[in-house]
Amino acid sequence: MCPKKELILDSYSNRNADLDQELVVHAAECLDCKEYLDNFDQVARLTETNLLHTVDLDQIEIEVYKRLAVQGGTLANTTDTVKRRFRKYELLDLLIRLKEIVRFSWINLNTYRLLWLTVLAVALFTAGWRYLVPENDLSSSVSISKPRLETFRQEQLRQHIEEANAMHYLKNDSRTSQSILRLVKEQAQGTDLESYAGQQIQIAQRQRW
Amino acid sequence: MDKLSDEMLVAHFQGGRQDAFDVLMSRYKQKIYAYLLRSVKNYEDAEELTIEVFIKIYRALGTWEPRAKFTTWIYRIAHNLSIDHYRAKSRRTTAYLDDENSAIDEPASMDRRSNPENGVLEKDRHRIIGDAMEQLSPNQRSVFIMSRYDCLQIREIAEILGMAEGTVKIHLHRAVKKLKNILQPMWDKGEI
Repeated sequence: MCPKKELILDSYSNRNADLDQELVVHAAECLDCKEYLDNFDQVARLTETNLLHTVDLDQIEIEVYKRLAVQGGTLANTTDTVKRRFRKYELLDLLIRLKEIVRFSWINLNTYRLLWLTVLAVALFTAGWRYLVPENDLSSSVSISKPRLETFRQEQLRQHIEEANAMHYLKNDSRTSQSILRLVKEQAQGTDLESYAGQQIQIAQRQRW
Repeated sequence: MDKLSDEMLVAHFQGGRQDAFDVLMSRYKQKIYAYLLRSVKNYEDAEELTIEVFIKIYRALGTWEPRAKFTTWIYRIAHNLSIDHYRAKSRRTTAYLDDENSAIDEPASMDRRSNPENGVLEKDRHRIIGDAMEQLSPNQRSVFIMSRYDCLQIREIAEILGMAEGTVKIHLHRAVKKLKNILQPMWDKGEI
């Protein structure tokens, strides 16, 4: 078995748009790898189906909030918000049902109109009131989430550096590596990562020449 | 909000922004549903499990730490739920979509704009591919679905399934080989 098969598998399963040039040249000469590569291409073609992507899933969100409201959320401060959202959905649901009931009922036209207008007025008033009252005091949440956001930002920058290193050392693509590192340097101003990115750019430039 | 990364959205949610969860849901509902549908092969069950996935996520999101990617975490939940579902189902003897009649059950919310003839052909094709995938082992199937349709990388699949990367590669290699052996003759005969 050719040892380069694993590289082909890596390249394919990690969605690299272009196979490494070296691998393409190798696959042209190695029957084992050529067959392997063909298998992937053929199965990709054979298993192409887009049926699932046409399904409309609007109900999912409504159902999730409905159930959360019934069961209660775990975050103490968010249970009320979920319940409030659920009430909005519930109100809409009620209006739709009322409309259906009244349509088939024996009530004469004037009574129907009057009833419908009253329900509509109450619904509009309630919905308007709910929208006017803010759901959350965001000023307090910003101070809590700030350190977390900073942690995530640092985490993302580290991931970019890893990506840049992979580009440089594993794929010999120092140009892409440098452009990623420049972005990191720009975004990491005032932190240790800025100087680290700077050093890595210099290393990449030196090795390129 | 739409342009934020998943992890940033989680941070916003943990900071009290409910709408961050809405964005996460709209970002992943299609993918998770598609994954579950391919795993459980039943439209209603897939929808039910998708709802369960998001409820679980909502409950755990408050204390979630970014030790792994959000995508990995959400797929792991979906995968575990699909396994539980499979075990529960196998105890009962309920007919699955393997049954030819139910295999072409159309979900109520199917897009009606598309050409009906194309729809039927596509459903046939989908059923044949589904049947072929049924012949894979559960691990081979999960690896193949995640790699082929959910575009997850080997490392992510390994994390989700709790396997070594090498094992994932072996499963993927075997799945590809097996599917080719099953589907290629059908293709040659013009059946798909």
